[in-house]
Amino acid sequence: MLAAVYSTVRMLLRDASTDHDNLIEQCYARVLADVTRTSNWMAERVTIPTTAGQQVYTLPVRAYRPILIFFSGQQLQRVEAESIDLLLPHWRSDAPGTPLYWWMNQLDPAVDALPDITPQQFIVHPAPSAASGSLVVYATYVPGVDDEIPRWLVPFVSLRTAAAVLRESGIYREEWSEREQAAVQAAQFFDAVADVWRSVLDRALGV
Amino acid sequence: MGFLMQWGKAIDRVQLLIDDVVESIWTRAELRSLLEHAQLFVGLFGATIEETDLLPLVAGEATYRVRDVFPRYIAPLRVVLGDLPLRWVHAATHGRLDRAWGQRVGTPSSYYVIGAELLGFFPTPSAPVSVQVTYLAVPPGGRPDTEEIDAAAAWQEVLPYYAAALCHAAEGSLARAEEAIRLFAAQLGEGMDRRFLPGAAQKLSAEEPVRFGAREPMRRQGAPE
Repeated sequence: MLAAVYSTVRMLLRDASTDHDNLIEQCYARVLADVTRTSNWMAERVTIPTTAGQQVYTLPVRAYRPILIFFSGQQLQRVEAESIDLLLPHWRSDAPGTPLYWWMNQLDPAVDALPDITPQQFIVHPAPSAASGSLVVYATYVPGVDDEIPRWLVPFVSLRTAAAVLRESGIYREEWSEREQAAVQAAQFFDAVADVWRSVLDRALGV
Repeated sequence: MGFLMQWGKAIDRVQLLIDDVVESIWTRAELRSLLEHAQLFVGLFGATIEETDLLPLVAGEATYRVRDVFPRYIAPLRVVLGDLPLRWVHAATHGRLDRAWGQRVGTPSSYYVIGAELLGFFPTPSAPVSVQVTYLAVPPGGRPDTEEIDAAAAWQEVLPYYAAALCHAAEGSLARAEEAIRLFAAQLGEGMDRRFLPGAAQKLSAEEPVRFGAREPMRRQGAPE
């Protein structure tokens, strides 16, 4: 884990031991994933080779959601899967050409009732006709726990991680001790301060 | 207007606020770390710490992860090529106007951001060139405690309250933590950098001040909801 985050979390927990290291790492990973799910802050460019006639492509594992997709310098227009099904019902059998549109694969509502799952696959239409080419995809991504993150992100993720650790380190019991109650309240306080960080970052970053 | 405060003095102030002048609970290094977080916060809030550096652009390369070049980069405030200010244009706007905008090459005339990490230029540079990027920056760290805090004087006095609030919370003194964060927020509001407020809020003019090359979110900074 990033040293700056790790030291800040341990400082906020007032725990110099290594007893909670695994839990800290798990919570930190979840916080990073949450940042990616709820913002466009972490973005990167990935190149995905295309195959003639292939319509469905898969994002790299750590990518979460495409922001922009280009094919040969031409931006593909994002459309909704339902619209395509309505307007181009035979899109699966259309002749290959130069891709113009993209959309995320549609999950069965029975699987994704909320719907809150972002599939890893996306579809381009028409499928590329060229034997070789590539899609340039700008996508949000989930940083790994050992990845270097922007310095401006350290206080925010540290507060969120510390709050999560306090909540999950066995402190929810029927009979709370005074210290355990204080831990829950501290978690709420850290989360509240993190919320303010979040709004200030959103405004400063503008994305 | 405040006075210029050294890091060491700010740490002393936090120790007084948390009744720990002998470092029995919090080390000075820990308090310094929290003060630096507070400084970053007010820097984001008031856009008070900015840097200007040259970013080399490569022919045929439209987007750049700026923090690889400038580790303290947060967000662009102004981008200039030679003596030509580049305008901020949303990437989606380029896409609406010209689907083939990714194919256009030439001398960049505008810039865009993708996420918080990538800074792009349109048209894609046709030749190597450097642009001057003024950006909202993470304050420099690691200065000796005898040096002055980097945040502007108007902001320095609020920093100890943030650090004290987190110390109190970590120790389970929630009432004192809430009082300290209330003082931090109150003084932050009073000390808001008015350069970033719309004209109406400054009671100077009904018009928004013209900010050269500024991105919309920064123009809105501090504006009433």
